[in-house]
This record gives sequence, structure tokens and C-alpha cells, in this order.
Amino acid sequence: MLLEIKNLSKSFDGMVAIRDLSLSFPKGELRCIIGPNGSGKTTLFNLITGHLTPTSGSIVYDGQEITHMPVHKIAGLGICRKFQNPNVFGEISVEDNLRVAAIGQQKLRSLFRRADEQELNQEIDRILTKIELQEKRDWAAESLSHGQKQWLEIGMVLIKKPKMILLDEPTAGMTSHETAITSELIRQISSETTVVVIEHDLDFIRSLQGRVTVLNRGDFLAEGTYEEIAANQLVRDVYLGDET
Amino acid sequence: MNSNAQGRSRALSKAMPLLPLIIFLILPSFLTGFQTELIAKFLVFAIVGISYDLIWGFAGISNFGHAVFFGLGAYGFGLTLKYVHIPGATYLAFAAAILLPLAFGIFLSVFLHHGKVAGAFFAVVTMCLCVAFESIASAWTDVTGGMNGLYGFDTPVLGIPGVFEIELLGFTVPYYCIVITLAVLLLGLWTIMKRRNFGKVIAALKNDENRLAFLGYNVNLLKTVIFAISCAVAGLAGALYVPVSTISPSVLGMNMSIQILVWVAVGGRGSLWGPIIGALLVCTMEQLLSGILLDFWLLILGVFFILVVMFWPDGFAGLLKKAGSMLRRSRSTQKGDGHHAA
Repeated sequence: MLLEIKNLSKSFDGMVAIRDLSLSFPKGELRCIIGPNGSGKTTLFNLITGHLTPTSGSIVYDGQEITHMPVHKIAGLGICRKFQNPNVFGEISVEDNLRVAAIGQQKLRSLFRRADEQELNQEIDRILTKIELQEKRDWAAESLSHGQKQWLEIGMVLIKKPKMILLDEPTAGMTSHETAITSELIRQISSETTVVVIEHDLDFIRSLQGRVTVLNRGDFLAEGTYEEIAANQLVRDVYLGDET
Repeated sequence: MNSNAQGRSRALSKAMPLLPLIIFLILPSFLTGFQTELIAKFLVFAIVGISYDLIWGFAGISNFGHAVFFGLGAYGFGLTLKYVHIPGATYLAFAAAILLPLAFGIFLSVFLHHGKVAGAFFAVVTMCLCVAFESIASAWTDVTGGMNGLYGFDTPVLGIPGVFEIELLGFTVPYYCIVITLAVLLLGLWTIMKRRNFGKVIAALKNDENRLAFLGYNVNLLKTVIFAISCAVAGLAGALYVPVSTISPSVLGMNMSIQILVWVAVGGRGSLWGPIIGALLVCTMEQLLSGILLDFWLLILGVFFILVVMFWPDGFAGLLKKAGSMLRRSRSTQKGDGHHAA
């Protein structure tokens, strides 16, 4: 198991966001987390990455207790997150966004080195090609389209060669064409890394062909392949309605 | 444009930054001693402006009490010269002028940023500290000379003690050259830093520090490093201020802090030349107009400041940059419709 969530609970001033949740994420798996709004999906991500501390329970990553670790230390352990809204550094160039992301855990001294080392530049080129932003490498990140910003952020996650990637609604605001490209991108990524995706788009989830966990109001509801979940009566009542 | 013309215009744009340096070097021959000293004083203001821009314009850390570090530098310099009477005391004085604000700045940044006091709250704390320091300097007459200022310290002397000595007085050539050299060094350092990874990371820090933390950066450490650099430079500027002025509590106070802010805002925060343009422009205007307009000058400055902030948030440096890029665009063809990063 790469990540284990054990009896995790989180409440905000009496409002329970996550209730006694236990989940396991094996290494190398592609997992989708779905559930209606307010089911605790983003809160779960916030707890894993250290942005929030749980009310009770524990989070164990690669054998290490990370429940109360600060954000940058958890990021340093190889858990990398992509946010719901594109969270790129608008005022610097596309290329520099990747550069800043890549050198994240390095010592302070290295920041004063020249900004053009061979190896890093090759990595940046590779990622730029993968996310199809080669032509726009000098553009200020804020002038990219919404979909391109999402890809840039995915690129920023990839360049860190993380052990685990958390993607929070990666196709939000994308066209169906962009969504299809993103699906292919994520499937490519998951062959090298453990990926957990929060999503609402059911066609997208089906195309990912990963394991699906369903949450509802902070509780665990069901887990299985997309087909199993779609056929699960409990899930259909709560979330899918009668559409498959 | 053929390659010859392109080569020429590229060489010209590389030579452009040297132009102000040349102007400043030949200027004293056209001005009186008094006027030259004034220019030197304004350049010292420009240097403290650069130190302020580092944290405000570049890193995005709000600070309303920057004069504290400037003033600690000045007092550190003067007090060392008053109580330390050994050959080479001036060098110790410079060290004190840098280390005192540096130490305090690091302490402040670590204490506040680690305690998650940032943004507007950080700014308010610095403002209170500024007021506090000015009061302390006024009241502690035994040490600082109180409202009258710090007097009776040895004249700073550079060179090699016993071999050759240069007195560092405000109206001398060595002083003028030192100030210009420091300004050029700082500009050079800033340009280099901006191109290295450090520059890009600090730009990202200003944009979205939370995202930076999620990428694995120790944001508090970064803030403290840039804050420390800023305080050290401010302290050095404070030491250089001593030969052209008196060391009095106002050098630490809110008035001075606000003036520094105005220079940087008018000149263009976050830009290389902004603080220099701002300090020189505002101080020269003040010199020329306050004699005629007296207190009315402050009103003009206030209105001017508001206009700049509302309509030209990039300050004068921003206006010059726009003019430059418009000139360049009218000569070459446009590539794509995205704008290029600064």
C-alpha cells in the first residue's frame, strides 16, 4: 500500500466533512474518487497534502505517518497535487512555471545557480511536448486558455516525478476534445505513477479504466470497477440517479 | 530589417543602461558642490528604494516600516564611530550598519512568518515597530542624542589606516563615486538574480505563495532570505546617508518609511530602474518646488501619488517600458497573440 487512510474524520465547527473514512491506495493504481458535491472529496485531498489537519484518524504514506506534517514536507515526499482551478504562476512564462516546479525540493544554494542547466532543459522540453505547449513556452502563463492552463499545471506536477499524483477535477472547464486528450494523458501518466483523480464527468471516468471509490456525505459508499459501480443500486440511488 | 541594422539596434539596447551611468559620472562637472552632494543624497535614497522594492515589488511582501532598517544602519554607523576609536573603525562601522538591521530583519521575519503573520498583518506590525523605534531614538538621549541627533562621532575614513586615508565627507569625489558604484552593483546583482532560478522562484512567490509551498518550497525561508538581503542593503544605505545628513530619530520614522514607499510606487515597483527614477524624480521635484510651494508641495505630492497608483500602477518605469516596446513593435512583426512574460 502506498497510501493508507485509517479512520479519518474531519469536522469544521460541528459540520462533519469526513466521517471515519478508511481507504487504501496500492502502488501504481489509477483511482477515481467520485461523489455528489459536499461528499468530502476535496477535503480528503486537503487532508492528505497537509493543507488541513484531521480531527482524528491517521494518514500513512509509504510506511510513514504524515498526518501532521507541514505542506512543503509532504510535497517533498513525492505527493504532488493539481488543484481544481488552474493554479499556475500567471506572471512568469510557461517554461519558467515548469522550471520553478521542477526545482522545488532543492537546497537554497541551487536557486542561485544559472537558470539553464542541460538536464533540466531537456526535461522541460519533454514535458512541454507532452502537454503540447512547445510553441507557447515564452508566453506569460496567464495568457493561456483555460484548458492549456490545466495542462500546464499537469505538466508542473509531472516534472517533479512524483510518487503519487492527486488530480482535483482536471477536466473542469474543458471542451470534449480537450477532455479526450487529458484522458489519454492521465492514462499515460498512470503507467509510471500512482494517480488519484477526483472527477464529476462520468464519461471521462469510464475512459480512464481505473478503480472507482464513491463517497457520500463524508462516508465511504462503494468501491469497484466503473461497471460494478454503475450497477450498484446504492450508488445509483444516491449519485448516479437512473442514468448509467 | 537587415542583419546589420538588427545588430546595431541590439548593441544599442545593450548600451542603453550605460547611458544613465555616463550621465551621472559627468554631471558633477556641470553642477555646484552643493548640487552634487544633493544628487549623491538622492542616490542614497534610490539605494534604500531598491532595497524596499526587493521585498515589496519583487517578492510581494508588504512593509510599512522600512525606514527602521535604514535608520538602524545610520545609527549603527554613527554609534560605532562615536565609541570605537581604532584604526579602520570606519570598516567596523559599515559592518555594524549592515549587521544590525540584518539581524533584526531576520529575527522579525522568522518570528512573524513562522507565526503565520503575513500580508496586511505583517505590514501593520512593521508600521508599529517604526513608530516604536522613532520614540526610542527620541527618548534614549544618553545613547542617541535624542531629538537633537547623534553628534560627536569621528569622521569616517576609508583606505588603509596609516598608509593612505580618504575622508568620507558628503561633498567629496570619493563619496560620490562610492554611492554610484554601489547603485551600479545593486542593479547588476538584481539583473543577474532575476535571470537565475532564484529570481523566477521569487516572482512565483509574489504570484501565489501557497502554490509554491505545495511544490515543496519552504516559503518562510525564502521570505526570510529576501527580507535579509533587503535589510542589509537598507542598512548600508543608512551608513552612506550619514555623511550627507544628520542622524536624528526621523531617519527611523514613519515619514521616512512613507517617503521610501512613494519613491518606489512613483518610479515603478518591481522594476529595476523604478526606485532610482522615483527617488530622483520626487526628490528633485521636492527640492525645486517645496521652496516655492512650502506645505502645498505635500498636497501636490499626495495627488501625484494617487494618480500614479490609479492610472499608472507600473509607475514611470512602466511608462518607459511601454514606450520602448511600442517603439520596438513598430519596427518588427508581431509573433502570435499571447503576450510575452516580462
